[in-house]
Amino acid sequence: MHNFWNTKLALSDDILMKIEKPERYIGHEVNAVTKDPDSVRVRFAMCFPDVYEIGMSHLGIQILYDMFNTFEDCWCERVYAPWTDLDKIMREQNIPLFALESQDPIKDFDFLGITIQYEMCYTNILQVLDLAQVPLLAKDRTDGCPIVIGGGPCTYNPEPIADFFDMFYIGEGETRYRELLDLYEEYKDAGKTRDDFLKAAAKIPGMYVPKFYETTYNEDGTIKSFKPTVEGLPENIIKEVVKDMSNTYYPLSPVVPYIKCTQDRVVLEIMRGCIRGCRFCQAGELYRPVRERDVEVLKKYAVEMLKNTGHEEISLSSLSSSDYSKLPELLDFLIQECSKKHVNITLPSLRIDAFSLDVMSKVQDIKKTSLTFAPEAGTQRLRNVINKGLTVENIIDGSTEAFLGGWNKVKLYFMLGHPFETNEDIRGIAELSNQIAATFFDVVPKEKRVNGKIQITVSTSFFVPKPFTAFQWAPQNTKEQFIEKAYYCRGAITEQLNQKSIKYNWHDADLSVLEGILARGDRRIAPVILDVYKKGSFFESWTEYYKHDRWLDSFAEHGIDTDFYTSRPRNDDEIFPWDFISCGVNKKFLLNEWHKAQREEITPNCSQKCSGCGGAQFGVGICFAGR
Amino acid sequence: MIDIRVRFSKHGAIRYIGHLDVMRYFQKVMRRAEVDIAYTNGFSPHQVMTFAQPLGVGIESDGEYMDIRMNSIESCEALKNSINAHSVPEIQALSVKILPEGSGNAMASVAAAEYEIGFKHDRIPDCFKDSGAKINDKLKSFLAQDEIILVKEGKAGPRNVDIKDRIFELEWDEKEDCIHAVLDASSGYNIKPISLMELITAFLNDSLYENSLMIYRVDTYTRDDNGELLSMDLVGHAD
Repeated sequence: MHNFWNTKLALSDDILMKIEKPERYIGHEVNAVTKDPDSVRVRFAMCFPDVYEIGMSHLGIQILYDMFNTFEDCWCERVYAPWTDLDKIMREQNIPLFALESQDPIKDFDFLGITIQYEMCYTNILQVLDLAQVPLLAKDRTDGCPIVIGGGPCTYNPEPIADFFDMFYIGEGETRYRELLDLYEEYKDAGKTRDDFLKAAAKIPGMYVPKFYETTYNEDGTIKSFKPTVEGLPENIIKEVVKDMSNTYYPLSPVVPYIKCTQDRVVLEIMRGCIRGCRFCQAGELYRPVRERDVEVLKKYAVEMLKNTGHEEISLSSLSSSDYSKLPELLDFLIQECSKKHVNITLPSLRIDAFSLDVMSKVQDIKKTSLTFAPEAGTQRLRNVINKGLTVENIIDGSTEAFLGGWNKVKLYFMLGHPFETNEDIRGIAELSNQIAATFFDVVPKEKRVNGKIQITVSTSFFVPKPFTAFQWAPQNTKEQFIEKAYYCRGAITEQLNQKSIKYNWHDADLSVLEGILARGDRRIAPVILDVYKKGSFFESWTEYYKHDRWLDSFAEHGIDTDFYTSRPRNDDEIFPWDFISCGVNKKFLLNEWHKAQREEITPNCSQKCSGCGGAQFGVGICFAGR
Repeated sequence: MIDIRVRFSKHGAIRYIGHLDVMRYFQKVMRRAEVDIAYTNGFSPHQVMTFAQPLGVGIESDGEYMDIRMNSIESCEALKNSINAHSVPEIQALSVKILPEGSGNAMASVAAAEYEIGFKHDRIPDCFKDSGAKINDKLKSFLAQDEIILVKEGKAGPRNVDIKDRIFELEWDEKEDCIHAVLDASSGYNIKPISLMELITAFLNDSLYENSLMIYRVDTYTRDDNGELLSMDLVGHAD
């Protein structure tokens, strides 16, 4: 008999032949990095706590994977959350979670890095730790266990998950890991303990070791104080920022998966940060100041990455691509380069204007694509409250031009539950949608209408106040209010003249309530998360696996009043659980924004005028560019 | 335009990659290798590329085929080297040949596939725990039946196919400790090795253990002008 190749795999043939998509667990992809384990001093497992296809699509992990593997003394491997079918088998057969490249157990690694991108993955973090056979609570881990380190946007309020992590890296990963690994090797060589290392690591800028900090509470449940318990540790942890975006790590040869992933394409991150300052948006504050990558560097990256991956699609990534100063030049280059190579360009949501419509008509099939607007609120008054600088004129002018160009599908995104929202604002969603439909019938003569129709899809999500935004003080709507608003919105749409052209979707209210609790939660939430996981919940961003009642029961069992975290009004001077972290934008600025929101006053964006948010303290980016 | 046939292997961990993903994989190989492959016209052009009979997940092979259309090539050898330099060790081009004009595409011209089928050592059914000569006698009586009915699941529901004349070779190879089989693999009549083994064990009043087989595809065949089986590799010529 032919000799089957003897390949080291953590899972047996029996398991791989039984489970869904075994490709998720075998590694061996093009551009995956393998090293001789004996030639490295640090084994780093990088985890996205969700299924492979989601995790593999995340740019941040690709950047760090590339960076770690340029370090000769370190081998960084990937690990994702096993899907429920394999999860069950691993528990039954006591198979420890393994890294994809070496197929070695994670529990033998030096570090387990976990990126935390959304609140609904918190129970997946516990699933990963559990399957890895690493104690779920940091306090139960001993010297042989990997150091569990968290990063990503959710770590700007790490408190609800602080019990599960040895440390957090606050800010952009490119800057301090070298220093951290050097320290780790030094302490490992000297035979120092886990605690010795953590104490020393907590002094590196951007590092937060929760066990060395203590919270005290007032009688009303709010925070009284938050202080380090070990001498010499900082009271404030300032996020890490990449100073030179054009001269840093970037994955020019990212791993190419076999199975189709959510992002099966080359991703070019053109800039970090956003000039806009919408008051509901957390990312817009966390990633300040705005820093662009040099257009020539990006052109070079695009060519190299397409060559190294063989992807047939490229897309741009940033919070607001229309604000990238060299966008026309970059797109011209990409359109030329990509048409030669039969590569498609997918455009991020661009502001709809003559320029973007021209570009879109060159790279997309107009009949198949839709225009996207995100007014977020239905009236100008409420758009002023949220500081969303998009006017009805912008939308109608953009639509008019698009309809004349042949588009006949429009997607509109709104949020329900903004602070200071009235029924009038909700009605405005319906009226604005109707006005867009009317514009179509006005400007496109009957004989030119494809199928004679315009399709408008209105989607509303429910607003969840997030830390480090002007709305961190805002009471969140209750589930009942959310649902009432969605019904009101639906009713208002059915009253419109063009209601037949408008389709309305709204999000799940339960999830938004929970997200709100976790987003502004504190350390008292952690036992509930642990409980819900122990009751069997994970993969909760999949609606079929989300069990809202488990959360309600667990909150009740722990005597936690969830309204405290969501719908409670907060005083201006309340100490928030995340106040010890500085993302650059200071609390005074945010409070002023909160007050301006109440007065319906707008704040100009960073390219118009500096509003002194505090982001300039990093000494880079738009704060110092000539306006 | 030059039509090219590529024979390739599939080994190791990559045997768990499904057919559709192998197709996507090769499109990316061609882009990485920057070879001058032809694209279809239209709004979303794609590479002119067809595959012979899909290989089941878990099976290793040295007899996979894909036909591609090239605008130009330097030489077959250069194309082979270029593909292999941009592919993983588990999938390698074994030969690259130029197809004569008018040869049918890879899928349509498939007639048969050759397999080695062995048992995992701890999962040999009793009916195969016997001497090589006796196993061969059993296989002969299996083949001597008036008809051998395989129930094939199709889009239009299950249908019965008599595969008696579609098993071209079937014998126990004592030295190699496995069955050697050449089976119809043409579109619509493809016989999966596991289906055959289920029929054989059932005929011998026995059954297969779960996931008990090791299957290796040796080669894939077409038919020549005289109707004889011919390795798909022998249709084309080098440069």
